[in-house]
Amino acid sequence: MNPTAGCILIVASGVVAYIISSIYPALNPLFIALIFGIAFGTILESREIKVLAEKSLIVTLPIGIILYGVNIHFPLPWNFPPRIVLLTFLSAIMLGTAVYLFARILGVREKLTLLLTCGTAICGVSAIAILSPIIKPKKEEFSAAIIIITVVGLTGALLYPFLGYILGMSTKIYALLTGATLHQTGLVVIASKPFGAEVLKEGLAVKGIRIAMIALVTLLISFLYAEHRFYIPWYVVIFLLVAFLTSFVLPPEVVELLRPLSTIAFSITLASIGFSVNIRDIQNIRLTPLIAAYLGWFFAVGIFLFLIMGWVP
Amino acid sequence: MRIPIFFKIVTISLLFSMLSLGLFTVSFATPGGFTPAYFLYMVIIILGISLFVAGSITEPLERLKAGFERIMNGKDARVEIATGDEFQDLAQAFNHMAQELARQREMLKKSEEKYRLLIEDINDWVFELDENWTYTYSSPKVKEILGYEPEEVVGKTPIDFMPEDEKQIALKRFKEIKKTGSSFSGQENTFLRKDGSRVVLETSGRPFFDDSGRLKGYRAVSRDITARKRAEERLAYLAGIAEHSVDAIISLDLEGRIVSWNKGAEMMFGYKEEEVLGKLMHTIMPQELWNSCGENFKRAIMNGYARDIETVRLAKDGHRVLVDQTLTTIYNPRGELIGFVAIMRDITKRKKAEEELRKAYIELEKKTKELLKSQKELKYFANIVENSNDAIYSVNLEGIITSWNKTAEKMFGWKKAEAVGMPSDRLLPEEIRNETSFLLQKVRQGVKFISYETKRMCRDGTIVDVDVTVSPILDEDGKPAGFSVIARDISSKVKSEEGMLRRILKYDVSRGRVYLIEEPSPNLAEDVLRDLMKCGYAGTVITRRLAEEVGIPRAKCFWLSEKKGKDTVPPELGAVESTIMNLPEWNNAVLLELDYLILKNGFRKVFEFVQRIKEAFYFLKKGVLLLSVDPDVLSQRQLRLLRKECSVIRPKREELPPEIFEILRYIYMENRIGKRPSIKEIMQKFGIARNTAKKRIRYLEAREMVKVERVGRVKLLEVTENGKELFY
Repeated sequence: MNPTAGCILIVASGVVAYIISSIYPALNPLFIALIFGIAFGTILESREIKVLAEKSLIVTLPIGIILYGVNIHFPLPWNFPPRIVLLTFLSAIMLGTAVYLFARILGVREKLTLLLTCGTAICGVSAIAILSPIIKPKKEEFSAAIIIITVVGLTGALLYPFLGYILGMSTKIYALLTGATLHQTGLVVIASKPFGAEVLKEGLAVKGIRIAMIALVTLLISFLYAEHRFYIPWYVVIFLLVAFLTSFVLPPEVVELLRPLSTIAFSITLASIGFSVNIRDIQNIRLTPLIAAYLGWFFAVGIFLFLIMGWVP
Repeated sequence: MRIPIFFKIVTISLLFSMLSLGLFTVSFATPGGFTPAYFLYMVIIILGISLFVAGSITEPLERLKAGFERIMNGKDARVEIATGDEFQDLAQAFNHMAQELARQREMLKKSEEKYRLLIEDINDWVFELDENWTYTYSSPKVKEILGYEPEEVVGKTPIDFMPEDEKQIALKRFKEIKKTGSSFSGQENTFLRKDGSRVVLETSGRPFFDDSGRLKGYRAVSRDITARKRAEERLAYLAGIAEHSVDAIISLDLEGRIVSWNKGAEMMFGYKEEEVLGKLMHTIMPQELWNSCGENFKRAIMNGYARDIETVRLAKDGHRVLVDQTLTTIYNPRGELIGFVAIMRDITKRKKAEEELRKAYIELEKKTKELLKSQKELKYFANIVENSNDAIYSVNLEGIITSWNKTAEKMFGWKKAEAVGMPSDRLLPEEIRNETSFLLQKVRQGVKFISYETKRMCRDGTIVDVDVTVSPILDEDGKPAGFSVIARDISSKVKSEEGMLRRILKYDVSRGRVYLIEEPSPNLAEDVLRDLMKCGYAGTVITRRLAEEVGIPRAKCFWLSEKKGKDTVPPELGAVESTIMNLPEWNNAVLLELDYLILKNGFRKVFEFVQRIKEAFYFLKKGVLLLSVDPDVLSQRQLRLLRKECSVIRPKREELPPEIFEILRYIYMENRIGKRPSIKEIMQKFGIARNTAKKRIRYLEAREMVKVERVGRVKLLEVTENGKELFY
């Protein structure tokens, strides 16, 4: 395949992923773009496009990450009751800890464990994509982490309405549950929508707190796991800066205008990653990380549910 | 926990069924009810889970596959699968197999290493050739043997490393080997080393075949036998030398039995090899030397050799051969004495030559001593010659002076450096300038000795009278090369003698002159001759008259006659001239009567003869020649011619009567020799009476010319100074 066609295919994969995610908010555009990349890469088996994808990552990855800062919105703590903020933090810690522990118990690779931990605890695919330059996992680990987080998140998105209905949760509890335990914003939208706009709004607000934790986690990961202590790639720093500007400086209109662009750009990046990875390598990650992610997530959600059912009015 | 795959598959199937059912149920139980999107989400969930479930099944297989690939690539492999199912068992079996393979590979590697080291460490070059004789493998030893790295050799053929003269031979051999397809050994080929030097390799190899039995090539090993070949050649060379040496080379065992016998021994002793092999050394030794033989063997064992043994050996025909023998011990490689080698050289001729040489040396020493003595004598004589009181010089055949002694320098005034190389004519006064050619002519004629009185001219032009002795100088071939001249200055003697002679002679004659006396009978000539003989001249008369007719008793008479006889001279002018010139004395008084010669030879020839003889007398101062001729047989013209050629005798003016002058002259001459004659002696000498003698003595005494001294009864006479004046 010639380079131009390869470029078009990569870009097209990102754009189409964005369109699909617009139709099905539960399907993260990054996930879709990655799946497209993996699928096309496996079908075409083109070495040229693989090389092109790997080379394009040098450009697309920083750009995608930087622009993805537009999708981050730091909420102001005083806009939330302290208990909600505390529970959200608690939920993130519990999710992260549970996944981390199960992953370690089941012998999952460390970098994959970190990706799953961060993806589960804060903001799913976005967190994995942003933290991967610091953790530097293998491409199959990165891809597997995205797939696992998406699968587990979708399971939650399908399960939560049923639970909320069966258990007779209040809107506040349900919004807290979705916002504090589901992996991605789209999943929160899917899970909250059947319970009305209020739940959706509160759920997204809580999710916003978790998304804002990306800055904290980035610093923490760079401190604990980066090859060099406090090493943060320049584009991650800019990403955080853009996120800050988006949250507090840029007018909402501009932010709304930039968001599709940033999402498409990041989707193209993930499509490039998908093109450069071999599905057999992803398979060889085996079932263990998925089980660890499921178990950790179930365990943490169970505890969190138990807590909030008795504590939150 | 061990869970078989079957149970896992059943469990997963159940899980998927329940998950699908649960999700489906949950979807319907949500407040919003089931939507198509839910179905999509469920598919994604199930696909996602299936992806990893499939991975869980395929990943161990992938690992096993990778393990097998590693093993196939000759690497170690260990697959860790902890699935607790048959995959784990398979992995364990694989690991066991891999471990066994690794162990076998390690053994193989060690074995290979062992053989590789063996191949690399052995001194031979191991290589492999394909069916086209191209090297496909070469052990590193090739670097040492040919100077090439193994990789330089691989891909080339043995022919590429051979010199031109070897290639054709090698190609022929290779074709024969390939044709038979069998093993080969001991193939010797010359190769060229990288530095161009030649090396001889001995190669052995065996073919190897593919599965179909087709020849694939040869595995061979080459050994550098250059040194061995050289040693063999050298051995053959030395054996050739030993075999064909003119010296007898005989090897013996410890019992002294002959083990080998070369051609030289055959020639020297006459025995063929087969005749003497196994026999004792005594076969060629005289019996008296059998005991001493043991001593030589002992010396050889003690010192390793016994050399310069001059001894005698017996040849087959019994003749004795004098030999110079060297006996050397032979040891085997273990250092054990196994025999001896006797090398014998026939020195019979050498000894003879040495003896001759010794004699020649003694002779040479003797000659040398003689030569030294001669040299000493020569030096002595040279010293004598150099310091002689006589002038000695030599003249070569060209008339050039070649040597000149000190006395010659003093006598003639020329220094040696000036005289040597100078024509000897320069020593001669003008009137005898032909003397040198005359002498050279005589020397060439073979005259061995000429002695005469003559004249020489000094550097300052003065003339000296000399008594010369001329001897020829002969070269190595005995041919005349010149003559030597010993000249003694007799000027004063000649002057005094001539003066005295002139005074004491009755006639005025001088030596070296030819006088013509014209008279019918030679009375005057005879008187002059007698007078000259009285003064010491040797008288010779050549006449037609018989000896009895000549009235000069002491004169030597030669009769002019054509008859041969004693003291006879033929009337030939040459014979006469020869007779005169060969007279031994040089103060000769010769009376020659010309009449008969003129009659026989004619005036002209006689006149020419007179001219020649005049010159000879003048030059040689041979004496006085008196030519007597009857004026009647010659014309006036002929007489005038003779007169012009000759001197004329005139009687001296006499103050005293002749008979008294004779007595005075006698006394004077006796006084000169220290005697004083008595009157009695005068009486006896002159045959006169006493009174006559006394009367004549008184006559002289009265004129104070003689002094009479009485000694006892004898009166002795002595010429006074006044009387002596008559003779000065």
